[in-house]
Amino acid sequence: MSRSISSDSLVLTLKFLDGGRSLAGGCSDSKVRVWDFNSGSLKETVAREQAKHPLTSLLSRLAWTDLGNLQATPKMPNRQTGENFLHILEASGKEKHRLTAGIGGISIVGFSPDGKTVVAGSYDTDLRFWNVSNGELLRRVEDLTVSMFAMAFSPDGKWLATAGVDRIVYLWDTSTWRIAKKLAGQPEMISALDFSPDGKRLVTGGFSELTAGHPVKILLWDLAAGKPMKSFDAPRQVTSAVFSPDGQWIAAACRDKSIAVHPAA
Amino acid sequence: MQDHELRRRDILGECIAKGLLIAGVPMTSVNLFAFYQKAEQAASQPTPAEVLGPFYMKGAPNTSLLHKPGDPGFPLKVVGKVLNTRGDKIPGALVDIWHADHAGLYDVQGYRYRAQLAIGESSEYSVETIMPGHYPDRPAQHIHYLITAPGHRTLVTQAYFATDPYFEGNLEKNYSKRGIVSSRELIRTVKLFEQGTPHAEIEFDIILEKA
Ligand SMILES: [Fe+2]
Repeated sequence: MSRSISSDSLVLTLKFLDGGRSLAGGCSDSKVRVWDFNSGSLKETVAREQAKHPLTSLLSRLAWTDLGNLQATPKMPNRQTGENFLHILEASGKEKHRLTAGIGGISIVGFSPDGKTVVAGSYDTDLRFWNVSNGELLRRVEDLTVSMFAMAFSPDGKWLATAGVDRIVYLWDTSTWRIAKKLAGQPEMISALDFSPDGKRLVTGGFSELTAGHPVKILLWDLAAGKPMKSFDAPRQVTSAVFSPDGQWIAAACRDKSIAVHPAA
Repeated sequence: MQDHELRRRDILGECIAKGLLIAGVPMTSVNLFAFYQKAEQAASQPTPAEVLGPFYMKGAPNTSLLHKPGDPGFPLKVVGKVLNTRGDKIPGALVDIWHADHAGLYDVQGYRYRAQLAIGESSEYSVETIMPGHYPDRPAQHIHYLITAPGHRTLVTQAYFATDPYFEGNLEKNYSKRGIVSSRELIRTVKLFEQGTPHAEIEFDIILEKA
């Protein structure tokens, strides 16, 4: 049965903890909230400033930007030149690489699951892939025409999914960093996506072209068929969508501060 | 901005007339004035930058006609030049222009109200479009620009309208309201033309820094 968990603050990123017993949300008030997934009751609220707390790196972990020993930190674009820099920092805070990443701001960023590659998409619509160990630019993709708003790697690391303004999910083969497949069907821009733990399904959440406050769809995709299997309504933009570790549920944070929980099978 | 420039010109003219400003070598007041203006241009600063925003699209057509007949919205003409900081024309610039429709929405399925102008030797551009609308997330009317030119720094900026109700008729007091507009200089005087097809016009010169 579908249900809803409510939050006091807009949830920007979701992550399941404790094997799926808890659901954590990184919120717009810079706090991390943890709910009991079954009852939906709030268990814990942690300020991100509490640096030693194990939940404080949650936001970046979920966004694929924390490898444990390395962090990818996008900087605000330079005020006059608009240039983007992606800083790769060691755990000590020491800078390992400062990568130039286009202009206008970084819209998506993340490490591949094996930690060998870091990817960043820019609002100038370019996508870049770098070698993490030496900072070398492996590939710059210049033929996307719109910005990407969401990304996720498949659990086995073979696929990268990106999606954004043009409503299409791009599936990238991570052995070549080239597009292998495109999925069309989301009726609005896409601002959230995740792979199922078995890598066979995908969840996407919409962002209406009208405003972030307009209703959208949450789609559950069958990757082999390349088609949506199920569609759920969301009252506003979906900011984050994730599968539970058992693959049975999807949780989708929405701009109305709710987290929708839907069956994923 | 324009008022300010006019005042300077008047003051300069008066100085010449009163003999407060004279050339070291004999020179007519016209030449002297031109000489001064050139020196003034030499000091011009690059156009201030603004955010790119999430809705830039690559691959827009090279067309100066951005709207279609019958499109709702008040007709607008935008004219300008692409110059360096010394006031010289920069040939060969690519000027990406995009803006929201009359209701404040961006076309992200196609290229309505979007163009990439390939500017030749003249370094001048002119587009016909409609006044962009207001949208809830960013309530000041604006036109986005992304300009690249050989040998120069890429510039991302936006043009705003002095007539925008957002400024509540008091530009000096309200231009920085809510931190939306980065620089007063980006807000342009709107000229209204009644004859022929009534339309508004703004001038937006782009001054680029050397790379
Ligand atoms: Fe905009």
